[in-house]
Amino acid sequence: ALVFATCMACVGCVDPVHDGAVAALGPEDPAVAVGPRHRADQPCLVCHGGAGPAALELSVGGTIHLREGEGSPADGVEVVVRDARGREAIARTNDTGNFHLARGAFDPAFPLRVEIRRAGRARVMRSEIPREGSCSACHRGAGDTLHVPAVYLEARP
Amino acid sequence: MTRVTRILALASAIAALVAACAVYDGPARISAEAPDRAAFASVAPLLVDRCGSLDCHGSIYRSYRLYGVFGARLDAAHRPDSPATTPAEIAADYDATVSLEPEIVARVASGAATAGELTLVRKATGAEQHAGGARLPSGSDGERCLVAWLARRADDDACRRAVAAP
Repeated sequence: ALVFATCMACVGCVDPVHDGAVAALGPEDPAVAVGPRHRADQPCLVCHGGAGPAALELSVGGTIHLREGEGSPADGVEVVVRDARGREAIARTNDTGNFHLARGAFDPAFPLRVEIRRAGRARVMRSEIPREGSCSACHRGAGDTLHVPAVYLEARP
Repeated sequence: MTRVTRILALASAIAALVAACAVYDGPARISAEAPDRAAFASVAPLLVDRCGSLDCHGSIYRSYRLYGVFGARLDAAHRPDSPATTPAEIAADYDATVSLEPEIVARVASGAATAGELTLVRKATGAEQHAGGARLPSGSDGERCLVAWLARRADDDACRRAVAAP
């Protein structure tokens, strides 16, 4: 009975969907240290969503690009996140375009509204975010059937 | 054989006997009555807008899946932000919606049940736990639009107001 209970407990800890999502992200770029600059354009909350493997839990995270359709990151962009209860949090992108909000500092009630701004230029996300904290879960590359394009600050000239 | 084992064996035998007594009602059929397909064209924009975002029911990983603008697209050549929701997507959304709980949907359409018996309505209005929250709050035009259509009393005005609301 003890062996059976132990086996069941072990099986209960396995989440093949989550494990698959983590594995699908691939290995770290050896040129980038693990930290706020790593894994730009990847869905942060796959690892930082509370189920591991990352210890730091985030509520919102993503990567902002400078121009539509270009890979260049946008540094110093303020990402303003407003939750369903009217609370607001502001994160700032680093030189890789990455930003994040730790859940310990901001645990929002969905849906969220988001605005990005830098030097007088601002863009407001048209739709609400009902539940996903990772920008790149929906915003990816040039866009495809299941994704809108990556988040950018300036439209294509 | 221990006493516990004997009790378990007896319980299993009784359960098997009870199951064996169940009557198969062969000729029984589900009513084909369903909410109006054509009238769903007024409801689809609301569901696509409120429920069909890429991170909710506009994801192909959801059992209740909606296709349309700003969500998953049926046509591989289309993108979430363009073009507008197509007739084929509206048809797919209709099938997804009436297939969730077809027996109850049929009873609601025939007036034999209230819309509140549907999980779809309870989750959308917030009467039941829903990760996406109350997307069509109780008493809102959104709720009126969905419930009226389910009961075959389509309220296009409520649908239009609901879609236009922020």
